[in-house]
Amino acid sequence: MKTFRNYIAEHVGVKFIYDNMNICSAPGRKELLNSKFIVAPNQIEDELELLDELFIKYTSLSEITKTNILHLLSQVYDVSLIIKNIQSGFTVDDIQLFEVKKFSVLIQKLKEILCEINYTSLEFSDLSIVINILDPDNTGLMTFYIYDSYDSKLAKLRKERISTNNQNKKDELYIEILKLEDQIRTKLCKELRHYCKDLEINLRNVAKFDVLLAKTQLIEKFNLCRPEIVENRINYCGLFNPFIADILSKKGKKFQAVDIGIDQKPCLITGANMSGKTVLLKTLAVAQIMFQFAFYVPAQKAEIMPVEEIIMSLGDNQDELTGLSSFAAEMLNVDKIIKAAKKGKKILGLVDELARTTNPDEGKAIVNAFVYLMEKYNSSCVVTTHYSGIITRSKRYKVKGLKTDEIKNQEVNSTNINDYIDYLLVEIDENFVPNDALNIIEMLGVEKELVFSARDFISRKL
Amino acid sequence: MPFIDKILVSRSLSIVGMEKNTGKTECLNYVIYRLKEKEKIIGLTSIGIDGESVDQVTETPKPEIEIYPGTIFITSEKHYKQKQLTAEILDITQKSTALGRLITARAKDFGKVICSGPSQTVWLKEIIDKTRDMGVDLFLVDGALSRKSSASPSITESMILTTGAAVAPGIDDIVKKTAFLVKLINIESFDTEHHEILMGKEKGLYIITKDNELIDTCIESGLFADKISPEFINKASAIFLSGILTDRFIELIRVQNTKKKIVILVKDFTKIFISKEKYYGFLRSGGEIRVLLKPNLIAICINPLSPFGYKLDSNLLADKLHDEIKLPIYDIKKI
Repeated sequence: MKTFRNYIAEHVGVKFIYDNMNICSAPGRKELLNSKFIVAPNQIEDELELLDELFIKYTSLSEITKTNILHLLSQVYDVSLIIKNIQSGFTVDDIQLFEVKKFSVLIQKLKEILCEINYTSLEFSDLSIVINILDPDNTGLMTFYIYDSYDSKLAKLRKERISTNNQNKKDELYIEILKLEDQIRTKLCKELRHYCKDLEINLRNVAKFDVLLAKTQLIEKFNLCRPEIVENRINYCGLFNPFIADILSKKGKKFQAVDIGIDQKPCLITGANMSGKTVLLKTLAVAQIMFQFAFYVPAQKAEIMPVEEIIMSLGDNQDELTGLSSFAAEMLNVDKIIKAAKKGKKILGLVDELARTTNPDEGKAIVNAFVYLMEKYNSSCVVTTHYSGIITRSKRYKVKGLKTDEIKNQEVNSTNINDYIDYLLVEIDENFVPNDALNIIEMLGVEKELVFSARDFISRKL
Repeated sequence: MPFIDKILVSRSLSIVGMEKNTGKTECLNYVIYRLKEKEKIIGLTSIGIDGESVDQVTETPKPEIEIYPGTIFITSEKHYKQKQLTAEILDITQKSTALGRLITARAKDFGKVICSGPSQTVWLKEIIDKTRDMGVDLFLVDGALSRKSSASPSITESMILTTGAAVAPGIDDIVKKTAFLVKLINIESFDTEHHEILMGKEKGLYIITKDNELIDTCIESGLFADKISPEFINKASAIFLSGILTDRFIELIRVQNTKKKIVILVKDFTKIFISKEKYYGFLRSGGEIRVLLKPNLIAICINPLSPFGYKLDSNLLADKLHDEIKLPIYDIKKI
């Protein structure tokens, strides 16, 4: 099963989400990156519930408490290897013992804060005994060395070493001190071995808490919504793409959110060029990925079914590197979708302009056949196309496209054309393919002779 | 005893050698030894590796740094494990150097340590600031391998320079080289109302006009100095370089600016990388080099012993240096 790390590498949109997450600790980062794509609905529900609880708590916290929690988390070091070493009977050194002590003190402090704010969803076990073992003088400080109080003989030797002026004697004493320190370390590790389980539980919980907190902050940052888990459909109200919305907002523009519903059937989307079809597919992918890693999703309202796999064909595969033509690469992705569908796997297929790189006659046939198969195997698959004459009983959408009323008397060119496109999705009954391509290339300022000549060909029906 | 009182008034000190084997560590040990009598809590680290028992470059034996109880030292994981004293770990950084994470610890008795601190000056500054909270009165930085960056007055308040036989084969050459560096260290600071703004600049080339106006030339650094228009130079009473000052840059300004008095301004002497010839050539043409911050050079220490085995006449070296530099010169082995 793919991990979050895999999706970051594959999707810029997911990477953008990750880059915007305020993960404080190394264990938290590890937890998130290695977390697995969740398929089981009840597991997503459980995770989302944890997130709901924390979100409600978090929004009511004072800024000071928030900062305190984040500050504590940022100091947590990944002690998993040290715990493992202690557990398997190794004696660890002062540096590692210091880490264990610091970790335990931090967890104890975090536990106190969480107790104060009445947060009980994650249970941290008590580490006061571990702290007692590593803080025999009860200083309450986050520092460590082999304290004199561990052994009266040690204290005596150390005093002797300080008071003597004879260098040889000093060196001899130092060796003796080292030996004794080693014995004490072994004893300490033996004592600590009983609490390794507690340390492990706390490490797991603190990592989890860090990730949940980062997810919580993301909800506020991007205005995400709590998805509702359903069995057989995907419905979004006001779906948006955080990555592109961010780019647009930097230019002072706004991302136009859309509504879309997908059943366990194919879903055909047509629309003029530049009408945001590819962005829509990428947005659907990012939202689905976020959902299956138990994030809130970028929409006003969402009902989502968990799928077993998201398979995409966006035509931006690195074809040259695999030695495949863009057509071949696309067909292999399509093959993956069909094979999964035939096996009865619950998938979300996202196919951008299927068969666009081949001749229109065969291309249209391929799209028709693909849509037919998706219908036959009840697979959720969103397909965008420019071809007319696709036969299907399933859902069809068109992107509204050019705002023809507004364009009149306006200077439209390649820099502002996006302002004159309505990205809204409209459900339609029959096949509709807009003929806006020539209008658009004219606005883009492409050589006029091409446009004239193309219009001439159309009028002569060539 | 000499210069210890001067050290006590500053809160951080770096010890910088003109070359390796100029007696930096000896000097550091002397300073620590003297501070012990004053019952000061000192902080200690180096920039880059230092304090090895054998010199990493010339393989000659080197004195180790000997510290006393209460001293807070910062060293890498690797060298922490080689310490020869009892110490309490206070903090461990999350960032790592080539030798592991940095450990801050407090010495519990007397003994020797190997210091290998942060690799960058910005990080060093962070560490110095952090140890303030741990009660450190004076922070000592051992500048490694002819690195002068730690002596930047923006990092440490004062500095000690060490020089000696390792710098050049003959006494006259040592004196000449040392005197020139001291000249650069003692370049007078430049008073400007734009001081704060300029200190904060990480890159770029700026001009202060005759009317005291600050203009950004939009040139990234002195490396692209040939892009600077003569118009700018004409307007300028001072040119500020946020990065380093090189021979090429100074030559370019000298050629462009034949008659007028012009000031080239840098943050501090650690940014100056120019030859003696170009420097004096520039001064003769009416130019001036000034800094925003001038370090407090407390003393110059000499090591007459060469890493190649011969020993120079310590008194002669000290006298000649004194004639040239007019500052007290010390041979640590003798005081």
